[in-house]
Amino acid sequence: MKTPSINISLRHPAYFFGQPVESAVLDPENPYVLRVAALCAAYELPLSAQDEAMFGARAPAIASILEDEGQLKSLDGLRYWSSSDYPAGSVNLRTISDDTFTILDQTRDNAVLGTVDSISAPELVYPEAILFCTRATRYFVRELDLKQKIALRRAA
Amino acid sequence: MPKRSRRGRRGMGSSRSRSIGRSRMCSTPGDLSPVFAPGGGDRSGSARGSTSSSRRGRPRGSPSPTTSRYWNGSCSSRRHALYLFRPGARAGSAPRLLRFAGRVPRCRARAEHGHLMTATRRVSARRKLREQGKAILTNPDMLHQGILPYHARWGRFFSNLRYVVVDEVHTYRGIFGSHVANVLRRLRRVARHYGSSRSSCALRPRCRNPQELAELLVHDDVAVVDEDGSPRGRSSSCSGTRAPTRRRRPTAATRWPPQRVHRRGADPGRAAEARRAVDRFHEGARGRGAHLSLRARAAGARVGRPGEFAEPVSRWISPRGAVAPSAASFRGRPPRGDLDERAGIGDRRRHARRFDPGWIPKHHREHVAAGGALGTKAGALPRGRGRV
Repeated sequence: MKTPSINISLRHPAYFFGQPVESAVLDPENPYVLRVAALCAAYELPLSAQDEAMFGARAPAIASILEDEGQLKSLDGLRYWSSSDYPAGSVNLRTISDDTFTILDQTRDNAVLGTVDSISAPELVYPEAILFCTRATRYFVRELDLKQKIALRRAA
Repeated sequence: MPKRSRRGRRGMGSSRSRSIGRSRMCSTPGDLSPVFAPGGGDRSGSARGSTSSSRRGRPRGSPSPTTSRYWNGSCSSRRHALYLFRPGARAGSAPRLLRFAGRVPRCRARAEHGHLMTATRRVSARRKLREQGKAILTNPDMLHQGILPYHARWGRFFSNLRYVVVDEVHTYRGIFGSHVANVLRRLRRVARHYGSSRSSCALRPRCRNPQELAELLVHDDVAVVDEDGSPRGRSSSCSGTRAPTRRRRPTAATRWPPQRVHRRGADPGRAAEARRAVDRFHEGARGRGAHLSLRARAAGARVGRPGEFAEPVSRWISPRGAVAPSAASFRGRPPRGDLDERAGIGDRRRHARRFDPGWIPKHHREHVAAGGALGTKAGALPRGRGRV
């Protein structure tokens, strides 16, 4: 047996087969997610109070903040997108923020291994952190550069 | 709205199943049960979710019964459909779905109007499917960046949008799922702007909380149909890992997957060892009464054991050596002739897989998807017999 976890799982199969499938968790009303959704929605059609209710209880507050930031303009009870930009073009559905850190592997000539959003970066890729990647591969984070927004790591 | 009891939803699903009948529903063998009770509620539209086992008795890429039903009923001049598949996983299946629909007699004419909308489509193709498309297959990214922002160009499609099918719902979780949930809200809002009342359908949520997930995702009341009436045998699983290797001989002979030995062009001695390892694994599995799937036998053929499946199934072998979780091992062979003749592929009763703790959630979902009930009696193979 390779590892204790395999050993335990194979000797006690009920532990594996007897447990229910994992739950799937999502939070459409996350403020960061809702912010970009409100921007994209306002670009498509003006936001009404009914629309904001569709996006959840936090949506009116988010829309107010966006209006204060000048990204939305209120007119006759509707909130309009106030720019000529295309908000959906800069929104990645796989990250919670457009501000991302790039993870480089020093052992492979600084090959890009992935990205992590700036909100999660201090929790995941802080210096001397052990980062678990795909298939339980462990990496040791050597440096987190806040200016260049890169994290350097090598295999643990 | 007071939620219906679980029994009540099942009851509605069963009665609706009987009223519609198999002949109208089924376009592929083995897809009998998943009929969806109409979701009630004060929110407009209705949503359904199915937790049926996947690909049971169906060729890979063929539409599920729900998809077939929606597909058959959707592609009319007044009822258009949007089929949302996860990027990557369904990207290869979507064209096959279109081709498969063309082989089903009732869908043959309608399949001509089915279109795949991805980022790789040319501008001219996009214009054509905007003007003529009645069933659009796309992914959340394209819906987010390529369709919804330009909804004015898609006015004809949105005004007739009737069905939204979200496949592989369990993949929409975390940040990605949260974004997709809001994309679907935006879709609903745009559809409402064009006066269409769409109905949602969520497929294959292989997770513990299908109803909660589907309701959050489609923002609607969801009736879960978790009865699976597709023909199947008793399913059980056996798990194995490689034998403990001696440090003085850490060769690839005892490694899994053994076909890697062959792929590397290793020397015959190691290939023979790998072949023996496969044989030991098979003997141990058969000793437990397991009927190995085609892919497991193919693994043996790959390392030099000649067999009837050696040549045609070589491309079915997973790089990780995972054994086929279901009849999906037939994906390389498109269905020919009468589809009902292929019902036999659903007879596979047991499957074996390499055990890898890094893939426990995936194995677990595959186990459930292959029809394995939770809490299935299973055991590890004997150490001495199969060395697994």
